[in-house]
Amino acid sequence: MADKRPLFDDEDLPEWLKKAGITFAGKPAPETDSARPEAPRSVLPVSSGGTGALPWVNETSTPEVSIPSGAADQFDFPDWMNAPEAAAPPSEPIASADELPPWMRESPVSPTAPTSTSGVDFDDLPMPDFDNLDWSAPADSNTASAPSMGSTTSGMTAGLPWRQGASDPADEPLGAAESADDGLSWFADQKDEAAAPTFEPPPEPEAPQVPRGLKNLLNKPLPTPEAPRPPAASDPNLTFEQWEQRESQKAAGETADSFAALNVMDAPAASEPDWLSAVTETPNQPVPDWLNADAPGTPALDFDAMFGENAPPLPDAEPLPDWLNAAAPPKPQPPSSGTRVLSDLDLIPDRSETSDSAAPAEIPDWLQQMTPAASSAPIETATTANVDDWLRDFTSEAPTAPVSEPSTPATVASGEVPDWLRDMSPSVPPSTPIPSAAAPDQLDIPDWMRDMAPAASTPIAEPPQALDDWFSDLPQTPEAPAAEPGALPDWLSGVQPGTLSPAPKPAAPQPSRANLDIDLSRPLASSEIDALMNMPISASPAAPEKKPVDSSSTSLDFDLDELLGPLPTTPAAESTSDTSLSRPTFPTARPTPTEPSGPLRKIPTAPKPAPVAPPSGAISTPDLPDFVADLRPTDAPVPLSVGPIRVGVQEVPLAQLTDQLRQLRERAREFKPPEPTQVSTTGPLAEIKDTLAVEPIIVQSSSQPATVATVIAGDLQARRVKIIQNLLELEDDQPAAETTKAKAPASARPKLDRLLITIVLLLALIAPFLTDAINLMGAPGTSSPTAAQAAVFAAMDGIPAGQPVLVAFEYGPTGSGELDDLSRVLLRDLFKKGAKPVIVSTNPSGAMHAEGLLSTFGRSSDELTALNRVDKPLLPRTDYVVLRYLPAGAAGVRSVVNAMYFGGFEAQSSFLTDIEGQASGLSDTDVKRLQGAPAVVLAETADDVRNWAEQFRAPASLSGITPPKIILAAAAAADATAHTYSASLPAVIIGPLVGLRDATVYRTLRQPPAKAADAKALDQRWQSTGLGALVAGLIIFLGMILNLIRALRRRGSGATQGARR
Amino acid sequence: MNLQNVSLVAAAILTVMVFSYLLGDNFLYRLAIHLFVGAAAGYILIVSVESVLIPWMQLTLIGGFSNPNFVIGMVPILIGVLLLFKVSPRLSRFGNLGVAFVLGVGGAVAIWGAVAGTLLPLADGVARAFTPANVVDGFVLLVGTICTLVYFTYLGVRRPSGEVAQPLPVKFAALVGQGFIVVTLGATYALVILSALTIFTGVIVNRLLPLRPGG
Repeated sequence: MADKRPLFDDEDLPEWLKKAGITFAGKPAPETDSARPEAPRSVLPVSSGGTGALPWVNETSTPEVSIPSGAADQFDFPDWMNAPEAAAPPSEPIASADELPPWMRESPVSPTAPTSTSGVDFDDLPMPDFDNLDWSAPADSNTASAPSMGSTTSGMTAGLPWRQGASDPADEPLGAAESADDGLSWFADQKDEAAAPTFEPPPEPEAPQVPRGLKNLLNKPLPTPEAPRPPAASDPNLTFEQWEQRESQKAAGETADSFAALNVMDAPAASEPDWLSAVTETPNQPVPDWLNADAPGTPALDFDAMFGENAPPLPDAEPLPDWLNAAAPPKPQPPSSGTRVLSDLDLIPDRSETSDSAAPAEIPDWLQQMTPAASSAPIETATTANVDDWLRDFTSEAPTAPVSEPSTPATVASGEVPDWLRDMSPSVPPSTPIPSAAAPDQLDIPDWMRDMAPAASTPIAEPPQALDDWFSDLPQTPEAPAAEPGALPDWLSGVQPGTLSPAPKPAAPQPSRANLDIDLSRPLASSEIDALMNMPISASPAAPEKKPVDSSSTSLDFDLDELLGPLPTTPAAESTSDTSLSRPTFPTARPTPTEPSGPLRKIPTAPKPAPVAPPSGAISTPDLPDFVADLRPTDAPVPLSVGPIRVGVQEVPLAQLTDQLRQLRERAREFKPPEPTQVSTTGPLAEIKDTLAVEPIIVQSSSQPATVATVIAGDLQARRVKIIQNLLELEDDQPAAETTKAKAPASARPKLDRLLITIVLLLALIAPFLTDAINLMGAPGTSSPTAAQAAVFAAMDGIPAGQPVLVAFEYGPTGSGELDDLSRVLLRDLFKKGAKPVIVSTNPSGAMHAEGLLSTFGRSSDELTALNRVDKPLLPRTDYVVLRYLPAGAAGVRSVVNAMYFGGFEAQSSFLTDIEGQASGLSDTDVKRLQGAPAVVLAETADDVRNWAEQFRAPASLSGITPPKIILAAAAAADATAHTYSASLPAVIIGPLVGLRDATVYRTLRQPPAKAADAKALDQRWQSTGLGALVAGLIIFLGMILNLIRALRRRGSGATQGARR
Repeated sequence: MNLQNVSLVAAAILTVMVFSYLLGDNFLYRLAIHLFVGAAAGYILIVSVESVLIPWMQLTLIGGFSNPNFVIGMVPILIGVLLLFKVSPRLSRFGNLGVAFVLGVGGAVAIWGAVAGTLLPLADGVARAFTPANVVDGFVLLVGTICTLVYFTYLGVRRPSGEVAQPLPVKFAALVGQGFIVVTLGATYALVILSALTIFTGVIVNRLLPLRPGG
């Protein structure tokens, strides 16, 4: 296959390539000159330092570029580049060193172009033994390919020497790969063929004004300048070890040649611009041995195998110029089947995390099948929009050479690149669009620098410091990979961590490469490699943030992290605490996995997202220059949820924040959202927030208390407990409460027992007046008065005529029904005797009732007839005196007694006026005469009886006087008290006459009614009262029986319950 | 219809209204009660003024210092004024003098009357009950009196369990006294009922029977 599709025309190949055997469709060319040819000197006056990415141009051994005729028209070469074209025919060799400007002549030529992966069928390439890889091996073995990782992914290839060796993407895989001996001699031949324009150094004033940032970036030292040294493609069976052994037999200078590019930048630039001279400090170095591919025994690369079958046609590739097509390297022959292939390389996914931003669809199939990191990284690092066409073509055309592929054009290829610089890579026309690995547009950087951003976003491994740590921790087993030199090509050795591009410190001063003082002509020691590795890579500070890797897009059969081991310690937290702004992610250069024998499968189409170190932890803010830190891009819009609204807020660089906002930001960090509070769903506090959480703490005593105190809850406490219980049971008992409320009586029902008793009593009381059939009571004994009655009769009979008699009406209208009969019989006797009743009362209504009674009695014809005073009504204050109300109860009685015995002021105050306010007509003598007659006391209550019985006594100070007597007539309610005082004070109390019974007896015996109707009415009343009393007695008895039964039942139930308890 | 008959009809209606309480508390019952209470209060006020104050002032204050009873007449006036200070919490202390005077005099009169008119006569009556002809009554009276007094004895003995209990004789005597008290209260209650029945029959005889034809 490779033979069918040679990339080079044999006649177009430079001599040095032909000598190196990279000719004739990948077949070794006939050696014309075994000696190492001098590197073709290019007439391009561009120094390597000037381009930065074009070291091979500024090297003195830069081959002359032969641009086909007409090809120059396709490019817009600057005048200064076109001018030499006329002077120097294209067929002429490139101007010698004498023709070059001094600064150019002094520039070394170290086209350490990567040669490893260009056009190599990764599936057939031998797989290195990662366990046995010696990361500290000499540069010519393993570490030489290290820069491929960093360079291809960093995109900041301006300062990479191995990039400088292949600045032109068109010839990078070609001239560098197979030019082991004569370097870019093929390029010089091309110049002859294609009549490449002779470039002249641009005038200094016209030199592109490289910004300071770019200048710094370009000046960044390179970590490991070793270029990969692939085995000769012509000998596919040659393993890496074998190849290494063969190479080790070469002189040390050959090895040094491979690192010559490191010192390219150290070459002094007398006439170059300042910004360019700052880069070119490297003195001339001999051509690396890998460029001297014509060394004896060095197999030539099989470009057919490299770009033959496995190299798919370039999509969207514009027709390459002839000179470039001619310069296309033949595809190398696939390696032996027994060796591991690069497609199984598992290190590439590690780097591929930086290329995740590139859409897989945008990656060519052939590229996807290849090592993602090695192929896509340099492509993705270039901005699609801003990469020049020629760079696009380069990246698409040489996708398989990312390991050592110098991407200098990509770093500087932009619209702002000067024409002269842009034209320095005219050999590759625009071709396949390169997927963008990042979005440099998000950065606030210049356009020219934005173009570099993708390249800078490539996973530059780590800060040098971190790299040192992990690198130093690696097992020092350099002999292992050396044991199989043939199995590990140079390009593959580039994936070793030691060769990875560590993240440089952009702001740090450029470490002088010369200070390394490393003799690159000899195998490097571990320390030297470390020193080289520690050299920061000129990573673009404006590299866009590495997007998080989508793990779902991968289908790796093994975990790369497991193979690669843990990441070096990175102060992620430290950097994250500095700022929340995202920082560029520098892919971690992981050491070789410790599982070399693991199943290295075919690399998936989609790169596996390797575990990404914390973005902010890769490089801390102090590691970045200020302008980079300030230009830190904002990530994707930060989602901000404000309630249901979700908005995206674009962050701004921290440097753009005001002090106030920064302080507020610091304060916001300290804010801790309150923990969600519990919201009880039940109970009285349901749906109430911010309530005290219920602490289910139950304290149980571990031991029995010494004294068990009885919990005594008072009534108040019990009520409170009940209230709480009701509150807690409110929800559950709500229906019950409503039912209870509904059962509450709306109104008081009539008490049937009361109504029944009332009806029964009414019937018993009224019935005697309606019929005599129910006269159950016998007539009161009127045959002989009782002793009490007899005493009263005797006392009444003893009152002389005209004797004022004190009559106390101690009852009111309420007792008139019972006592009026007694009052009438007594008053009738008094009036019959001609006595003058002097009526007093301690009851306000008593005096009034007495007045009314006497008024009625005094004008009653029957009474007057009975008194034998017909037409002589009884007159107040004449026939009787109703005195005023006696206040103070017992004291009033006492005052009356005192007035009776002492007269004077008390007699005047008590007996002076009657109830009508008129003069009673009683004199002091009349008052004192009251002592001679018993006082008639009509008492309704026991208190009235007691007051009069106790107070109506002769003063103790008076001796020898007759004690006053009391004819006591009391109501039935005061019967007991009257009888008691009557019994105890027989000398004072006469009687007593009690109620209706004694009144009836008294009247029957002493004042028999004149009319039959009055006698019948008196009898009916007696029967009525008697029957009513009987019925009442029966009801009370019945009630007593019922209550007794209920009491017995209650006691029985109580006793039963007590027994049960 | 004369005024007396009108008063009789009004009295009969008010009586029925009061008896309506048998059917439960109702507006007619409350109306009758309010009328009686208001009328009684008004009547007492009028009686107090016409029967007490005016006669007293006429007797003592009229004539001023020329009245020999003026100073005595001012004493109840001064005490009455002191009682008015009880309306003000700040000056109520001055009203205490009037209260003290009233309670002091009233208590003294009541105590002296109770001792001289009740306790001593009752004790003398009980002592005299033990006569050969009245041994049983005297014994019952003595036992009843003692047991009733023991019933109102609140002395006891605290048991080891903390319970306070009266000795058995005391408890028995108290139980007997409780029986006497029950009988006495029952008898008193019966007399009250009898008095009420008498009053009711008196109303019928004196108020309702005259209203019947030919009555």
